[in-house]
Amino acid sequence: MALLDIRNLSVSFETPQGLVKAATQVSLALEYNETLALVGETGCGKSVVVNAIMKLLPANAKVDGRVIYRGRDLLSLDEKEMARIRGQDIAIIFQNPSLALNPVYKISEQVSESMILKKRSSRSRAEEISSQLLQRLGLKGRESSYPFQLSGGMNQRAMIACSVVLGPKIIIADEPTKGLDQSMVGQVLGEIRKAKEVNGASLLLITHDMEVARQISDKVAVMYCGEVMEVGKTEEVLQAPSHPYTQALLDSLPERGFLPIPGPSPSMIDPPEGCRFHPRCPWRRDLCSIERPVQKSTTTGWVRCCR
Amino acid sequence: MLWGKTARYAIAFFLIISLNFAIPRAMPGDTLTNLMGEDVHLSEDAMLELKAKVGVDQPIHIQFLNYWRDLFHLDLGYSYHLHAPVSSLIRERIKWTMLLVAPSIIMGAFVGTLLGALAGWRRKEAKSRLQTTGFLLIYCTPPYFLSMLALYFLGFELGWFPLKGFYQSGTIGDIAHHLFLPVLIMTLFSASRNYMIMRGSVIQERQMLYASYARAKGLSSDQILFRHIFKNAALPIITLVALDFGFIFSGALFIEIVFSMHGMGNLIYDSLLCRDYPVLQGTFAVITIMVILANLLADWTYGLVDPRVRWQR
Ligand SMILES: Nc1ncnc2c1ncn2[C@@H]1O[C@H](COP(=O)(O)OP(=O)(O)OP(=O)(O)O)[C@@H](O)[C@H]1O
Ligand SMILES: [Mg+2]
Repeated sequence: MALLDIRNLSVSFETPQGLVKAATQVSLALEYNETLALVGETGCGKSVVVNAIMKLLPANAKVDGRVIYRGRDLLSLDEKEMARIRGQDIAIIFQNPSLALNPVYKISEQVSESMILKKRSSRSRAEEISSQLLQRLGLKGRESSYPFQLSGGMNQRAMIACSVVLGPKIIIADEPTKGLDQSMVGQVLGEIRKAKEVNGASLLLITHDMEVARQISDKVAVMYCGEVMEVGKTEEVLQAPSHPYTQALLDSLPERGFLPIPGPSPSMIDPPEGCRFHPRCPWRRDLCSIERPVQKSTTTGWVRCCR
Repeated sequence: MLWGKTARYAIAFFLIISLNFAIPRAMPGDTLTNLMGEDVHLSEDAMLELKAKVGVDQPIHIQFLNYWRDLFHLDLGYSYHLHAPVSSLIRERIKWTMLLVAPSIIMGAFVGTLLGALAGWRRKEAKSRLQTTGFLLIYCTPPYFLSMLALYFLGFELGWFPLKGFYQSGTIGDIAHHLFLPVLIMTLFSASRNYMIMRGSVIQERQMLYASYARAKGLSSDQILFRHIFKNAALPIITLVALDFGFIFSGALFIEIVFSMHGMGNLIYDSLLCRDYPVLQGTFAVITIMVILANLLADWTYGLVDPRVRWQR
């Protein structure tokens, strides 16, 4: 039994332009102590999936499916029960740290807040723990700074502290390395990995940096246009990908020759019929535009492709 | 940063007060009449004597210096119409205005921001929609009209409150009884404005990513509103309340007239009617000082609440 079991999760948004099908029948499992990387090009629905898990989507979102955590379907919980899970059991590190932190509070206040409000710690104890945590994350002497006084990388680490201070069992990190310079990438990843190990937590990491996925993850899930196309052990997916999209994604990396994926990104209001990748697929057959491929087992996971 | 602002306010103060000096001297007609008020009739001799006393026969720069010296000695001139020094007239009246205005603005700020914040947070609920309609109605109604309605129904029809007159002596209970309606109206009016601003501000702030992140941290709905959104959303209210304090005299003017109160508003109103220029000039100076102090206070509070302002260079 996986720690977190996402089954047939579908999310759509009601918009004036039409129904945006941001995630379609996404199924993923996150095991104990595992790191799962969710990769895919921008706009394919990665953030939507994790925000659906946390029940943080705006009111115009329609969510279907199940998200089982410790035997309970999170999607059926009310806001009060969900608030108890957030931060303590499942924590998320947002994509944009400088906007996610509150501009009018010191970072130490924002870290200790969770302890005071959710763990009923005394203020002095909470402050002690949060300043220790911030120091470990390399923010010694910056505890009483405000977010606008810190760089993006520092805010990123401050947010990591905010998110992991309660010792969550699942850490979700939404592109934590985006916009960081190369020297910071390793450091931030190291901090997240450390937080994961200290808490014995599992990590769900969103990234579109394949190199990051290779470094840190046990398993990789590849998303395209709201669907998961392939899941498997990191080595398998990155060395011997089963899905043409995964192959194309790898070929587009600088070290593999920068081969761009041909054709435009698909519309999520009107996604392609059959296999969603077929308009851009070099292996396309007639069947691909008619029938949605079923999941087929691979050595370490599964793939959604007829080839 | 605050020093730069203070300097700017000091310059504004200097210019406005100088204008106050210049206007009666630049107005067409006799300077002395412009300084005395138009209903003062004196013999030729008395006129000359007064001219010497007031100093209008001296060179203009000496007059200007004397004017500033008097101001710093809180000497705002003499009302020949009311036969009293202007400063003592104002001192006598301002306390009644303060009694009306200070509690109203403070209560209005509390009630308006609190209810406005909740209304912005629970915007879709029927209860807060109804409340918003109510406050919008109050906001759109001129305060003097609201005062007349209250006087008519609560004072005349029901007889709960006195219709007019404002005792300057009397027990505290007596004063409170007389003050109740005007304070209520003022409070409602000031609350309605703060309510509207705060509601809009919360609706805007709740879209921000930090609000979403507060939810992701596992905070409850009330905690997100009061710990995270409130402080950010309340920033515009500071400016608003300061402006309120600056313009209390004009805002309270109509209410004071309707309730026949013995405050600054009625003092200005009466001296306008009988062209009592010394009083008008004196109140003008006092209002200037109030507006500038209020703005200074607002800037200072703003810096206290918002670290981004505090650290700005
Ligand atoms: N509130 C919303 N209303 C309407 N459409 C939305 C909303 N949120 C997301 N979408 C749409 O859902 C799709 C997936 O968005 P998402 O943010 O999950 O992409 P992503 O994979 O995280 O991309 P990135 O790598 O750029 O972060 C996008 O097409 C986006 O426009
Ligand atoms: Mg995203």
